[in-house]
Amino acid sequence: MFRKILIANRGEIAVRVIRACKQIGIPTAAIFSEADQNSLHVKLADQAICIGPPPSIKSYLNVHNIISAALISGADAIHPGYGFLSENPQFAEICGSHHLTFIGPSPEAMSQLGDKAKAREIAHKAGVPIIPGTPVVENIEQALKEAKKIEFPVIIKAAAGGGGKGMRVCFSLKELEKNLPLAQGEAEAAFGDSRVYLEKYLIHPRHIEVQILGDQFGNVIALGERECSLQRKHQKVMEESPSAVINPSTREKIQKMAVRMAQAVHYSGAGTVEFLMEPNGNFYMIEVNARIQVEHPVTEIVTGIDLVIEQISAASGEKLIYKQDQVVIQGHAIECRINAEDSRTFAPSAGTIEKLHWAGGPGIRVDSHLRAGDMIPPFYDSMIGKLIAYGRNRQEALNRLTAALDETEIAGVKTNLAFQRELTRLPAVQKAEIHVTFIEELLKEK
Amino acid sequence: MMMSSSWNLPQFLEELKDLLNQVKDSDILELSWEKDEHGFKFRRKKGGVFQPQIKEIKSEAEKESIQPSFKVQSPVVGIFHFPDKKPEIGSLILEGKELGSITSINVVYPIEIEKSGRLAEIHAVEGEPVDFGKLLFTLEF
Repeated sequence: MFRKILIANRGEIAVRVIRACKQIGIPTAAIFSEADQNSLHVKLADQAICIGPPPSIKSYLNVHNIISAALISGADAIHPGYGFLSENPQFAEICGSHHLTFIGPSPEAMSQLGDKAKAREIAHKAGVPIIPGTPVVENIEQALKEAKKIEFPVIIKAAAGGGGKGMRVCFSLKELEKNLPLAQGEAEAAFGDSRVYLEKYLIHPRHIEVQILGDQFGNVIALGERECSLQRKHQKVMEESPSAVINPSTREKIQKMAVRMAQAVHYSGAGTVEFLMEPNGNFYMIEVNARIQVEHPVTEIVTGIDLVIEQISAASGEKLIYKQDQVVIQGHAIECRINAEDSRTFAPSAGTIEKLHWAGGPGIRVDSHLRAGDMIPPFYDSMIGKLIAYGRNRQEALNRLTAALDETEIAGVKTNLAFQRELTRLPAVQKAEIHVTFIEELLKEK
Repeated sequence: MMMSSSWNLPQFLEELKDLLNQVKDSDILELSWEKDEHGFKFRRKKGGVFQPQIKEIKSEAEKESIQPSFKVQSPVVGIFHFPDKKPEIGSLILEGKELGSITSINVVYPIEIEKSGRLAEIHAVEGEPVDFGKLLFTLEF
């Protein structure tokens, strides 16, 4: 096992990793920017090193200072948390060249999964379904021919881009004929490259992701799924495990796909294979997140497996102690992300937390790094904490979550508590009739 | 007697003199006054003279203005080393002079002085790890 772990992160995930290290008796070194010198993770770690001024690029993304901090602290491993450098293969490689173990998958696995085209190719070879797409379409004749193969509706996407630029949805041949030149023009204007391709457009899919754990001996297990369909602008708002719509045989099927995907890149540590699920039950893999995720606690609660400890253990070269048939999902867990943002406009709200009371009681877990009097600096994300409720079934978890949201009080900064309270009470959420555009459509109606 | 609410050293001294004159013929043996981080205490000596024991009469900003100083902080995380000849306190350091270096992942970052001044304090310790922003030297002008 490791001598000392340096946590290359801040906020609640830094606190979460320190707690795991304390549990298994590994000393920790925290890093912090000048804006975070009074943060909880700095206080809880055995040692803390300032690594730069507040902007992330000068501190939490400052590879040189982070590596130097690890070396002078005597750490032999770095836990990257999520965000910042957690999925940066170059950083993982630099750690290795300084004899520091990067707690995560190998740089090779990260590179392969980080390249979307490469990841699609690996999935295809591993027999994991991906959203049907076409090569670049040059003209309308070719586009019409390709669209028939993948079936309407289709979405036209810019080959060079992202962020929604040049994307147009077409439900018929006529619409495709009309939209293709427009999309090519938009792509040219946005990226200086008019090449476009078609992808099958999924209507009201659900976001279903499978948690995986792998070791360095090729063993990979799946720890059930999480449903994260409640999102706003691709940011997850509420996550749960298990999904209300996945039955045991479907679970087995998607778990097998996730494990095949992970084994194809010799994945070790904790990771997540994300899928979109159509209302008719078809699954398509979208990407693999090569890190611990924000929503990992719901999986921990229903499986009883501490993912951070398993991640550390796998990185230290230990074999997985669980076999697939030992993973048992019990009950239901739902997580709400509590952010410092306006419940109506969603504008972030930095400032000092003047009052903070988290709900408690049976089945409630809170993962947070903030205390009353703490600052939410404007430099990083606006997360205040994660409120997680557990129940023997979904309804019990939802009831506990609703009560916990009502009980929680935060003053000094604006929060999304009011929005979350409203969301949990919606009949569609209560009945799990949700999809990835549910929140966007709800907000449009208002 | 009322003290002014805003801190002004010359005005404060005037008010102090006035206060002492008022109490010198009284039976008061000890007098203390405190406001924010400033304050003083007087105790009557045998023979009737007040002995001032000033706790702190200057804010940090005022101290700076009386004795301008320049702090040299670490720009990186690493291990601090003095040059072969360790600088001496009180010595005049000219702009550009290297007072030490920080070794960070086999790269040496010289600590050069941006403004000439007299070396007032050495906070750095040979061979010790330093954080970003760690105070290394204080110079006075």
